[in-house]
Amino acid sequence: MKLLSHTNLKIASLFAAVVFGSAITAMAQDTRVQTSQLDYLTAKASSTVDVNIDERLIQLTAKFLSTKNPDEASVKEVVNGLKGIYVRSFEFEKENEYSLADLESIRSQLRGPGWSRIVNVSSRKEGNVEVYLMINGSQIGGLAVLASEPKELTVVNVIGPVDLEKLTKLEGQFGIPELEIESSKTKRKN
Amino acid sequence: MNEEYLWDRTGHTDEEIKELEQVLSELKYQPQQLEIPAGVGKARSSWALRTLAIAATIAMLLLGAGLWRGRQGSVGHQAVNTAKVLPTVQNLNQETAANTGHSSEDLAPAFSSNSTARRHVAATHRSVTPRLARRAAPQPTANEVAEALAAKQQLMLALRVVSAKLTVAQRQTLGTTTANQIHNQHKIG
Repeated sequence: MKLLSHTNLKIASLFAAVVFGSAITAMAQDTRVQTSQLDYLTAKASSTVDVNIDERLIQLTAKFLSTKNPDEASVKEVVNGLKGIYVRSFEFEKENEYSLADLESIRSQLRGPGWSRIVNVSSRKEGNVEVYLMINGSQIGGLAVLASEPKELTVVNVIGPVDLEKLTKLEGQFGIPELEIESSKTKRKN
Repeated sequence: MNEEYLWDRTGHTDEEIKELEQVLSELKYQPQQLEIPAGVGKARSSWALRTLAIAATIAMLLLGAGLWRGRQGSVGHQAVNTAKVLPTVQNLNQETAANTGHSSEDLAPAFSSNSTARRHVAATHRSVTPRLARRAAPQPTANEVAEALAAKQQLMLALRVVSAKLTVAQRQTLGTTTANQIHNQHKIG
């Protein structure tokens, strides 16, 4: 009888672990923004960025970041706890290579439960930037950025607890040179 | 000789048999009560033995855990610091640096310094006995190191893009007095 109750306890624990794991996986999948529908833009783009870093790769990379180097330590701090970083960016030689439907296919996913649009910026110079956050209770569970310019389309998806302030400050630090978007725009204008 | 006597002790008894019975009667089974010698007392309390056994088991487990942890730490030091892997890492850094325009030291500072790596290797040799070294878990292969470095490149690129886009959003959001059309939708809280 005692043996039977022990077996039941083990089975119950295993079941709970499976259910918990499935819930976590499902949550991660919900936070993941699908961008496969944009694959066709690769052929049109003059340059593309396609970054897919899952949790395993983040952890592997984190091992190669030194905590003694302040720059690397800040990067390590930012990526610590993240479950995935996915970036797709297309740069075109001509304008209007992507369609509004492409943008809508991303936006429709970000209208799902949990996602909140915290920033929507429209600029003639720098295009549109939309920032979405996945809120899990009182914590940020993910980030999505949809940036569209006449000749550029970028979709960013970060899964896991994101510190926006630290992430924003990273520009210009180790291995992350400032893109100097402002200055390049000014030059273009001149 | 009457054989029936031999089976059930009936009938005529042979003299020779009687003599044999008398001689062997001394050796026959004598039922008597079991006598416990006075020197043998009651066994000691099994409670003390059990406690001792449990304590010994815990001590063995702690010792084993300590050894295992020490070994893990030593193996961690060994990771990617072998002379075989280093050239591969340096080559990768140089290749990546050539492709991206960054210095190889920027790309992988953890491996850029030979002296640092040698210090790690020396520390490893000091801390790991040859016996443990033979038993140590397999070190990361060159492929794993290459994968990690490639992932690091991707991570930096991704962070650069994310950070740049967030900076644009932040700058535009703060510059609300400009002619840009800005919508901040603070749905949180």
